[in-house]
Amino acid sequence: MQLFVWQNQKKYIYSDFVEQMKPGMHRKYIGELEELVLFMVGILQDEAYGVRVMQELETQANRSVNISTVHATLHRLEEKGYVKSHLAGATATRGGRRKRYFQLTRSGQHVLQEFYELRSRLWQQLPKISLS
Amino acid sequence: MSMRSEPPKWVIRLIRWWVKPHLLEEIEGDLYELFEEHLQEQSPSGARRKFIWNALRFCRLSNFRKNHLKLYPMLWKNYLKIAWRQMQRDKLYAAINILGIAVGIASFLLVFFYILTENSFDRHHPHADRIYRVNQNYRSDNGEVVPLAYSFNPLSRTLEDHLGMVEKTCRIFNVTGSYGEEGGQFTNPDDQNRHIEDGLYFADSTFFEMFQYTFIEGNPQRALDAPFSIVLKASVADKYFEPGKALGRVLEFRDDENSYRFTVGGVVDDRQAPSHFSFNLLASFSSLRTIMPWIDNWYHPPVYHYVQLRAGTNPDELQTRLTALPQQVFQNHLAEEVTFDAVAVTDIHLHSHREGELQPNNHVSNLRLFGLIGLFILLIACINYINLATARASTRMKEVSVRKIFGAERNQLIQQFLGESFYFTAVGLLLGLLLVRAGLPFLNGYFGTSIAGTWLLSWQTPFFLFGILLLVTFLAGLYPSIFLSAMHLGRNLKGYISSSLKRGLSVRKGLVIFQFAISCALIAATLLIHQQVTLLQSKQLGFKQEQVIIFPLRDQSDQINSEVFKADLLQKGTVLGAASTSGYPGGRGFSKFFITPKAAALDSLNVITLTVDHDFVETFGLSISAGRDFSTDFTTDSEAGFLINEALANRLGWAEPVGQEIVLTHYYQGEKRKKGRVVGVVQDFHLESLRESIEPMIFHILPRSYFYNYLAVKVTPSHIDQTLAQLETRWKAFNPERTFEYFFLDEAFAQLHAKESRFNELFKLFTVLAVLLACSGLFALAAFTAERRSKEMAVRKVLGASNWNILLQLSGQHARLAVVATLIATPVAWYFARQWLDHFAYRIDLSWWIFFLAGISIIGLAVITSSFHAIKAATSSPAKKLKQEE
Repeated sequence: MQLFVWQNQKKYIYSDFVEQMKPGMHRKYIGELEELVLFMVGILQDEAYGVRVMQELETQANRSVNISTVHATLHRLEEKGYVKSHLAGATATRGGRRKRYFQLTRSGQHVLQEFYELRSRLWQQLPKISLS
Repeated sequence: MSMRSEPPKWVIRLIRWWVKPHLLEEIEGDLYELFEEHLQEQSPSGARRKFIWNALRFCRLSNFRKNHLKLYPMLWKNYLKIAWRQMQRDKLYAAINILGIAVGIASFLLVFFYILTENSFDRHHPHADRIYRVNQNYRSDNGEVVPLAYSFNPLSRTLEDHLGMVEKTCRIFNVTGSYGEEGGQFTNPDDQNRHIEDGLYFADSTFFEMFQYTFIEGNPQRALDAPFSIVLKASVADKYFEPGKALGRVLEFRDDENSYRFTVGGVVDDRQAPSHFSFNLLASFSSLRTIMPWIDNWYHPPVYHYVQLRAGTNPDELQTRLTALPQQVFQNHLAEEVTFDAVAVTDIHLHSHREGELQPNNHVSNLRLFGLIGLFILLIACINYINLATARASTRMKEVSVRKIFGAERNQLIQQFLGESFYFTAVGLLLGLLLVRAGLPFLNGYFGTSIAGTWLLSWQTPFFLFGILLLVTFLAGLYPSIFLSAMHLGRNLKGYISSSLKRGLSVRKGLVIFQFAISCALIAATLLIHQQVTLLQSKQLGFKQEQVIIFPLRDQSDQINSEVFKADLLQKGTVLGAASTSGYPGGRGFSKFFITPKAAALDSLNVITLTVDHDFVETFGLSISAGRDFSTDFTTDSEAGFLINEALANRLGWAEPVGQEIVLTHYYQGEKRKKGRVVGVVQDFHLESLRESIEPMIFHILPRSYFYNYLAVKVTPSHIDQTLAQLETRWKAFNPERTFEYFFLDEAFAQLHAKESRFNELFKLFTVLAVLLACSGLFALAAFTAERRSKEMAVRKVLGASNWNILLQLSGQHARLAVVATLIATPVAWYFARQWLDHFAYRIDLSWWIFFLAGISIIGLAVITSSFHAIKAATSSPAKKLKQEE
């Protein structure tokens, strides 16, 4: 079951599964693609800008996503406060235009950590028989 | 980097326009980076395709610059004021724009209402979606299928018995062809008030249950229940009875031997929703059992059949069962020769073109053509606006620049200029509505269309008009507003002509070419239609039509009197010839009967049968190509003699038709067989309109029969008035009680092509409008160019250019545009002309001079229009011009 809660004029989703993770806390909902992109930003460190994130998604996760979708996702993550960005690094191939580099924020790192913990906790509970 | 590996410019422009400014840099950068990468991997065109795709994907709503859509209502008042001043400053410009838009919108609305009206035929009946007309098709021995609009009387019973899905059936019987198309004579027995009425039909009592009519008197459910009931149109009823007191009164109808008394069962309003069928008098079908007891057979006379299916029946199922019907019901040769099909009642008016339609129907292709013309005229008006607004850009340069300096967004300027076109369009629309209101009665009266003015009053109309308002505003105003708002700030103030102004020039040229191409095509089409109609009216018809006068014969006393009348006329020498006949060329509703030739390629054939007398061929000026004419010298001619036309001889495969034996099965007071021999062959002539080819015909004599519907007399063309006066005196001597009525054969035949003539006239009207609009646009454009270049021309003159040179300079460019327009229009017009001409059995040859003439006239018009101002510029004093400061 999912409920919508309006907070600071932004749409958040109160979800059962997040509650199970952190009882009593309201979490901003993160989609599957957002999660992947967030990981890529973390992995790429200082090299995380649109094109690189897209390529990384393709090589690491075998997901081919249009560049505009990557942009939209990155900006959504920034709005939610999981990443921050700055403009830098103009090159000739870009016609002298700068890139927007993204970095994980503290809460971004936190969310990744929570994802990892949740998944591994769930993994532990999976009966062994069904896997072999 | 080569030019080919650049991404397309328009995409970048689009991205820059669409994407929010703070996102633009990174997005463009990423796009370029990916493009370079793709260039390494694949062809430049592939990379470009990917670039476009990626860029388009960036044009998502979340990236959109919402500023583009921001409105500034507080500025609108100012914009209105400026627009008003602009109109005042240049009245020619304002008048041409507003009038153009008004005429454009008015034509568009009229065409639209016309199409709506034509599409609304028969849709008002309560169960219109379930009503079908069942048609018979007749396949002759040579495999040719003749689609008929009618069938014969027993079909109604057959449908009820065999179809199983029928809720109601209704028969309509058309008196035309049985009593002569001019109708019959009705009398009010109380005061002997008598009139001749046409449009008499018979219909089953179910008629008013299936078809919706507004009754003034009587009950629609029971109006036709009893035999010898009759329903009248109000205008007919008022001739005999006091208004409102017709119900239950008696009208007497005279047939050949008998008179019948009909009781009025109802009166309907003259104004009815449009339908493919309309009557003046509608009598109950059950009366025919007394009037024509022999009607119940599969050969004659034609009866129209309508069925109303049960609710929820699949129409495809109806067709399937109709296909199986002939095998079930016929045991004789008809099982092979006859097929049935159905047409939805709502489709009849636009899609049914069968033999013997109750009324001439319209062609859906005509509607498309007029729709296209309506759109074109609106488009020409919009183009005028675009051209004039952009041509005048230089006059608005300073205003735009000043606004920009004071911080106007481009969006605001676009709003300003769109607003201006909105004001123009709104005024034009109001004017256009007045034009429609004024033009509608004229159009309906002159062209016989039945466009209902009620469309203007329906609740959808305001929305529709608002839609048109917005459409025209954007069509006319979008390009100028983008163009004007894009003018470059600094350069404008300094007075340079920027490159964008030059781009405007080429767009303008293209649009002028487009306008003139349309006008040229329309002129060519008009010439063509005119030529074709003239051909239809003047073709050698195979008979002499000029000096033949026709008297309709109403009843048997007429027919008997006419013999005496005829003898008298011939004896006195008033006329050159006279003949009684059942039909004349240009008439309608010719009877068709079966013939069984003895030694021919075919067993039997349904052919047009004319009952004539000995003088028919002579009076109508026909020629005999083999054998001889009917003659009183041979007494056998009237009992056993036939004339046939060449078409019939060919159809039967007779090389030597004279002397061949034929049996004609006709209906005169019951089924009759007439056995005889062919005495002569008549050279082919046109009995019907020239749309149709000449059909097989047979002529025979049947003295004193009610088939003689007309008396035709041939007179000397000089002193026609005197002759008519003499004829009237003689006629009155023999028929003191009858009104003297007559018509000329050539007029009757021209009537057949009235539809084409009207089409021709309507087309001319629209063409003139389109050409006038295009020329007025060019006129204003030329005025403007001449004004703009007046200093240049003055300098040229000072340096020794002659008036002629100046003229060439100024109007030469417009002439060039017209030449290009002609070159574009000709092949397109040629193609459509070919298509249109295919409708006709007899048509003109498409000749090059039509297109040449259209092109010349368009070029001529362009030169004349533009040279008006050029001459003014050329003859004015250069000193004055040069002294003026801007």
